[in-house]
Amino acid sequence: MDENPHDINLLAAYLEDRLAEQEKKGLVEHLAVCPECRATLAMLARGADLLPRPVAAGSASRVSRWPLPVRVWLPLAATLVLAVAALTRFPSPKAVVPGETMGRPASPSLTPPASSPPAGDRGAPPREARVPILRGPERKVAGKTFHLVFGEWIDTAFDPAAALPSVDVKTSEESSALLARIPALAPYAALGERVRVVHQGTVYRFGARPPR
Amino acid sequence: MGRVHRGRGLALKEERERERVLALVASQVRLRFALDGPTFADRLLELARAACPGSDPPLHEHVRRLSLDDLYLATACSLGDEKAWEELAARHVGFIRDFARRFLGEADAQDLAGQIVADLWQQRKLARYEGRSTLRTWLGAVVAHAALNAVKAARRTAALGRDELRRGSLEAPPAEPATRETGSLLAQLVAEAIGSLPSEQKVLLYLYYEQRLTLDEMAVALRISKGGLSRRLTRIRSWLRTAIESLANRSAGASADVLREGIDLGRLDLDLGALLGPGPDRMESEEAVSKSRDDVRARRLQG
Repeated sequence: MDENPHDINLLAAYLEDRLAEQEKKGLVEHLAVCPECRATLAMLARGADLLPRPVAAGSASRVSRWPLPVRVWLPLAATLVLAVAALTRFPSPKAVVPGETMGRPASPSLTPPASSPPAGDRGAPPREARVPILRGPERKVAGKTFHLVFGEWIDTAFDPAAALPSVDVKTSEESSALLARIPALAPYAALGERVRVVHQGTVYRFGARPPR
Repeated sequence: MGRVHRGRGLALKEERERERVLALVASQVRLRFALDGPTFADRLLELARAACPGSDPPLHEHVRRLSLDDLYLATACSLGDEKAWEELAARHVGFIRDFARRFLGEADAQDLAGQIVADLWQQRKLARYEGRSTLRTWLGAVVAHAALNAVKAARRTAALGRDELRRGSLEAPPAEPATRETGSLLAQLVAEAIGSLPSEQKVLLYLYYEQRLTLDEMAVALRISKGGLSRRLTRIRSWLRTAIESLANRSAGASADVLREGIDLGRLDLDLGALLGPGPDRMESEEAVSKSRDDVRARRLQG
């Protein structure tokens, strides 16, 4: 909000649950008397599926050195210790390829905030570009790995920062025509209603939302 | 002497804060543009001082909560770094367009997105981003606010046209005096009753009735479960009914009778919808959706 007392920074932080209690209280007081900010908040809520999910379950005042509350990280840490102990005691017969990940945490809350790359990530592309905000199930199709993110199967090779040319495939007619032209896309398109796949330097978005 | 010590202590404290902020920058930001770490750290300290004038919490604690990498990108852009603009365009311009499409038709959304990007670039509006949310959510708020203004402007133009038409043709028939009196009395009582609600409950009520958000959408904005929201709204409605009845009893007898005859307070849910909404800022395109939602509510109440 520009030349007026409304504060877009606060509103955006409120939506991501990043305000301290006192600031949150102040903003709620303002919302109770400001139709313009209520309307902006309402519009943000309507488009929330296009926005990053709140960073923390609690408010910023509760953000501590530990990104997760004790009740979450303590059992996780215990599980990890047990798992490491089991692995070192009973090593798997299959050797792990160096650099290969050992699996993926199931809980979406383990995904770190999209905008704060941890130490050691310098030199890599921005995390927001690489890490989906909320990871669902994973599928491997024809040599590619996909994650279900907000109802869309997204190719792990997809990198928004790469700004590759993109083709939106909205209707079944468009889909049939494209698959006739590039049959290699067929197994990916069959994954679900909404699929985003990178093929030969182009991003194909099947089931892309038609503009409202 | 004491003043000298205090001065030194302050300088030392500031130096420590700067070191901590520099360490945060080094660990959380990929320094990929011309903007260097120390300059960016100074900008962060400036923002933190503005947000926490009394240094409470400590400045580095405020900085720790910011979206530092996004803020680095935005700061580099606002300094006119071409590479930073390229990254911003690749990561966010598509989103700005998609988000605008949520509220406007295709052509208007394209225009608005173009205007927003131009403003961010030419007027250095990105410098207003303080890193308190992700850049994407901040941009979403910028788009929502700009779309709101665009719709308001369009509505004002349409209203001017309507006024001229009305002046040149038949005036709408005036409402029956009794209906008018009842309506205005109810509006007055509802406003009075809502005025006495705590802010948090007012916001709930406004988001539901004035902004016509669904419980799902409210749950996202307020981080309250749908069940919790539904229970709170039921409690607020029931309290409002009682408050309005008691206010009506206290007002002049004749007016209260008119109110009781004219309005079924059991239907307050619908009456609130009519009195609070459509809000001045509601989007035209949502009216059809809201109408069907009202019909569902009406059927539920009748059932």
